[in-house]
Amino acid sequence: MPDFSDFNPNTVDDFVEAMINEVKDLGQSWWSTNKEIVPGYLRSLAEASLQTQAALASGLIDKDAADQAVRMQQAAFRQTVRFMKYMTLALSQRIVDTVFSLIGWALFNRTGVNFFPELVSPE
Amino acid sequence: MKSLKIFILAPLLGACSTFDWFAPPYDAELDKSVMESHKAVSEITACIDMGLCADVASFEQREQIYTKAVAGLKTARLRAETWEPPRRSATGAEAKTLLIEMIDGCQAQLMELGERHRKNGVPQNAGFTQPVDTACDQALRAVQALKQG
Repeated sequence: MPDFSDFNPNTVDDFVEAMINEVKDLGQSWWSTNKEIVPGYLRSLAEASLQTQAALASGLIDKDAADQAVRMQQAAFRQTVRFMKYMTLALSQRIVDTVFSLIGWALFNRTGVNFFPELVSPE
Repeated sequence: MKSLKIFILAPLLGACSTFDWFAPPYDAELDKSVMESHKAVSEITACIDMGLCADVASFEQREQIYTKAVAGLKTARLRAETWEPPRRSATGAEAKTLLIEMIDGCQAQLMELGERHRKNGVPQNAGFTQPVDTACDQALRAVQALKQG
């Protein structure tokens, strides 16, 4: 979370501009991180699938072992879908936290009252 | 006047926001448990990737590592279960379920790998390690998703 400890807007426009900038930055940084991660998982699972095929074809593993490996790969792929869903919810929470951190600091800096101690930690 | 409205409305909005969680808050203890398990899982999958766990005898030498990894995941699951979304937030409850499923998913993959290792050994380059690494990496990333900084 960026440092909002000096945030003290005077107008709605100042407030909204800060919120939009923070949410935009958060979204961009989130996307740039996650767009690398999920393809990485898919690449890893594709590699696993090819290894299992080659190992079965060469006789390194038998049919039962190959069956177990592909079921594990299937389970990991299913989990990847759940992971993407979870990370979307986590991003939503981060946006809420970021916006209310801004609001909390603005309130604290203006009034001295801390409405969001979980997000605003004055020294 | 506009700024005054904001300062009146903000606490009200804030009160609403604290009741509607999209995901469980970051929990350092949960992170620690999953991180320890993740390290142990990496030790096991590295052993397989290097061809050092292909025989049954190698299981006994790594049994404690498996145990450590599973223990950390069991602790993490219990910890994750304790968070209750305020006011029965539907999205918070969904996120909690997903988080627990990812911890369970890591454990299930590891148990399956361990069972094969114990009975047959795990050959190198046969596609067994990537699903375990993937599932456990996702569990760790999910637990750390709301970590600040």
